[in-house]
Amino acid sequence: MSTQMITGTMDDYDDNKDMCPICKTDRYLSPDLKFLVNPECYHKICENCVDRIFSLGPAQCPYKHCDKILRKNKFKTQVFDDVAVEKEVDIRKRVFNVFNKTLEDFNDNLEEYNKYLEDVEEIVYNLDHGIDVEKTEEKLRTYEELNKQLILNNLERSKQAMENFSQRQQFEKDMKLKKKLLERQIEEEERFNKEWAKKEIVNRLSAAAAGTAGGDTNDVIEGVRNTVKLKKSSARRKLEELNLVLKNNPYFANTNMAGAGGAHPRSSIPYTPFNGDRDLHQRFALQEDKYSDPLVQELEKRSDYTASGFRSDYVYERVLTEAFMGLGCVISEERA
Amino acid sequence: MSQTQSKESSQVPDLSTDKTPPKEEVEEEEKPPYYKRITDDDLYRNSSQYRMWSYTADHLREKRSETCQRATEVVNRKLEEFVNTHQDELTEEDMKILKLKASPLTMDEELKLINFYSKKVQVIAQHLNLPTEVVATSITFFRRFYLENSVSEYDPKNLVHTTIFLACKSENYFISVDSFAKKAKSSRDAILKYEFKLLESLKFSLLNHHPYKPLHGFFLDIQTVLHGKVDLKYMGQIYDRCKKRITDALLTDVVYLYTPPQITLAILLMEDEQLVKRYLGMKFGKEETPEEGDIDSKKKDASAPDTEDTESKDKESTKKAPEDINFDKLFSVIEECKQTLKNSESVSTEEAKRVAAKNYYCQKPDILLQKLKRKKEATDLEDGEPTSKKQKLDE
Amino acid sequence: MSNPNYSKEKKVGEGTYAVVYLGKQLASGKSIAIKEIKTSEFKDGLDMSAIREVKYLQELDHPNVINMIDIFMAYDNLNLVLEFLPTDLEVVIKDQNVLFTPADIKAWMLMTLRGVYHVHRNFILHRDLKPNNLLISPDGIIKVADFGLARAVPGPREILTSNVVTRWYRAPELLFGAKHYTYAVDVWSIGVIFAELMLRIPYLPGQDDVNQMEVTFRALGTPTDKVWPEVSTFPGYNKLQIYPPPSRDELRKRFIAATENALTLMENMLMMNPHTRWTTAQCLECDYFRELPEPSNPADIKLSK
Repeated sequence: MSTQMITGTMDDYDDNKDMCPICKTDRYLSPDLKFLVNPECYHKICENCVDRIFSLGPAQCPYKHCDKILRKNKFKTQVFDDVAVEKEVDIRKRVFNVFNKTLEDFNDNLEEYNKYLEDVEEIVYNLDHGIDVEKTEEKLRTYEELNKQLILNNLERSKQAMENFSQRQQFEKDMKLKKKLLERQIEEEERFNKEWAKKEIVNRLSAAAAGTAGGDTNDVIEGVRNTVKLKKSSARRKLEELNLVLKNNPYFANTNMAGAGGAHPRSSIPYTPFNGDRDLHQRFALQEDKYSDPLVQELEKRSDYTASGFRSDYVYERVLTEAFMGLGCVISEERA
Repeated sequence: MSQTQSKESSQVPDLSTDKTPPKEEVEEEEKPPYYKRITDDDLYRNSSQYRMWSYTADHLREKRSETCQRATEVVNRKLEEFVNTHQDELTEEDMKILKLKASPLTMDEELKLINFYSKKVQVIAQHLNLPTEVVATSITFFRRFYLENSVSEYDPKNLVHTTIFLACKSENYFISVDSFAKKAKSSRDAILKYEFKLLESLKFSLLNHHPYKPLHGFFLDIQTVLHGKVDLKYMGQIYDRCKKRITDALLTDVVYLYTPPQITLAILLMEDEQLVKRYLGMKFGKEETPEEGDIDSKKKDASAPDTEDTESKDKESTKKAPEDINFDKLFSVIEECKQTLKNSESVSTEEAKRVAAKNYYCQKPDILLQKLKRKKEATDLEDGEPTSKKQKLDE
Repeated sequence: MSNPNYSKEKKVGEGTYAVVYLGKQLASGKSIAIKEIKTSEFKDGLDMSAIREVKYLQELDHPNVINMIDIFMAYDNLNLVLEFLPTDLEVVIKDQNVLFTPADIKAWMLMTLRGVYHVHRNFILHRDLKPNNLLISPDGIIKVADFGLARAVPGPREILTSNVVTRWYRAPELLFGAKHYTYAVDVWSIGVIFAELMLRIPYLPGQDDVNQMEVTFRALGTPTDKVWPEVSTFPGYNKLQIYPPPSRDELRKRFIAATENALTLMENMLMMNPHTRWTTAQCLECDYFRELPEPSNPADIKLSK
């Protein structure tokens, strides 16, 4: 496909943005009208036409002069008004899914990284403008083949970034919901307390009136109010706690989400659960099913052992670790 | 120290063809605070047994000779003092006897005495029906004590019960001192008298790695490596015999010169050389055995970096670091250990008695003289020859 | 006064078997603590707790385990020279003036788990984990301390005493009197500490040993043979009141600020069945530590107003 082809056909049809050039239905008259495009040629066709023309199988594009064979399942909603943009975005997406290195992969060497980005831009440009398509496609394939693992890693990484993003949204949503619930609870409690205070004051005052002559009204009111104050509800305490969490929400501090494949919001040091505190190349592999160890296997069957949490694999792991722990330390050399 | 060496050697070489850095490197580059790789060997290097009680043969000799020399000086000084203060009473003959009989123990003699009493510790501890590990710890404590102290400073027979008692407590096998004293036919005070001294001499290190657990571990690992090629009943017999041999090995110097796994393999070697050769050959040998091939192909798969976690370990991919253990070197180490074990001989009771007596008299010259005098009187009486006469003759 | 290398300046605590002093390492001027063990008071010679403490501290070397700098004898007393650790997690939890965030809790959990993981890697059971024994260094690092009840993982035939761990942090198998328990008892304790950090009040405060069972099972459900095979063979099991385990929703309500991953970690540390309870390695590898918020930088956690 060439640029000329697209722009050329565009001219023929693109007079009305809201009208399907095939069936001439106008969005003005049918507001549900939805346009689809197929990345083979990016010709805009309404949903109904796509259904009609491609339901029975692949068919030629209904646009004049366009000989592309299109499949229904490849049609997609057009995101950008300008199909040229739409096309470029698709190409970019495809290329960047393969060429997905980040600055980190270049050990923060900006120069190399920039050079790499330029190369990638050239690929995008070539594909977008139909220059050396075949050669460029080949380049893309070769790179993909060679860097499979790295590509997968980086995809995983950006997926992680997205996950963190959605985690953060979920977290905020949860917290806000909890907050609302608590606020309602507090409101209710306060209403209840007010009622209670009113009644209590009346009760106490009438009791005072009935009993001893002198009962300072102000004192009674003050007393009841203090009681209410002291009844700091657990809901309120929880709300305070929640507010603190929201205030310190670490997700907020990490909103610098760069574009897909860009910097992820975690600190650059990956999480290492053990900080190196284990042997990555233990000299044995635990193979419980292959051991005959009557003594241990007998204990395993005893209920007092089972119920206590006794585990034969712990026993095996321990003795095996000790069998190889220090095997490689040659004292006569190391302590010389 | 060796720490850094081992770190390097345990690192995975770059197997990957793409530009993905191997897992380890990622970790090395971006170290979180306090990041430190600790292999199982490093764990052993960190143990007090390695830090404080592992010596080369030369160092061990030096250490003993220092201890012995320090004791010798003390003994000699005391002898000199004795001579000086008793100058008027001592006859020339007395002096001759002192010169001949009251001399400090040599390093060899000390060692003989220590070995003899170590065995005694074992026998008594076993007689008290203590678990194997407690017996082992008792022996270890006792021998370590006499690396730091001389038998002329602390009479070994006074420390036998103390070491066993402390070993019981240290191994969570608590017995009250009174019932221990009763069982051991000793007294509370005698047992506790040197307890602090013992702890101090042990440099406050109480945790021991005995070879029993490694033996159990090798027993299991041989089953997997030589799966279907060993008779389990036979393995059981080997296991029991090796266990006995381990206790004997604790009475020798191999515990200072080699690590528990090495000692264990040396002992297995004594029982069945072919078995050990086959096992280690399969495990660490250079020749490609089927199992080796398997591990290698797994390793390549596993070199694909784990996207989840740079450290995450999948049981399947657990593999040995290449060049971690060199078969030939390991074999020469355990062969050497085996020879040391073979060359360690036990001390006869007569010999031990002789050395013990010497140890006693060099510290108690007056008693030595008295004893010899009495002996002489006895022989003189038999001969019917008056003592004075002989003395005169000598003059 | 007794060792030329260290000064004892202030007595800061006295227990039944030890006195703790603050002091200085004279050569470096560094603050240190000296735990002086009153050895003379014991009729069986060196006390078991002292022996255990010395034995295990001598072997352990990890940023999240208390560091024993030196040890010496003076006047027949045993002196452990320890790094100076000004506060502990119990003090922090109780201090109403201190506000801490989920990220702080995560940092503390991570450090505690790494410390205990290392203890377990050395085949040692701590058996007395509680906020009071998680000390905090001047730069905010958690240090697992007090090895007076620790012991090496037993051989398969050895019998253990179930009378270990301070009551509120005692795992259900210990409450039942188990004699062959494992690392899992320490993980339970950390789980209870985790809950306490989130609630800021003790999570399972039983008043006595019997009540502890009641409190534990009311909060987390009474175990049955289905979730914990053979649990009914423990003596005393039949007398128990059966409570249902809490639903996720109930836990959410109780631990209002906890994320789902935090609750998952807590649930798995507080698993009734010691077989299925997570190991420290599993805990360290869980999603809670990978999701945001990232654990706070220990030095940045404010412990006083």
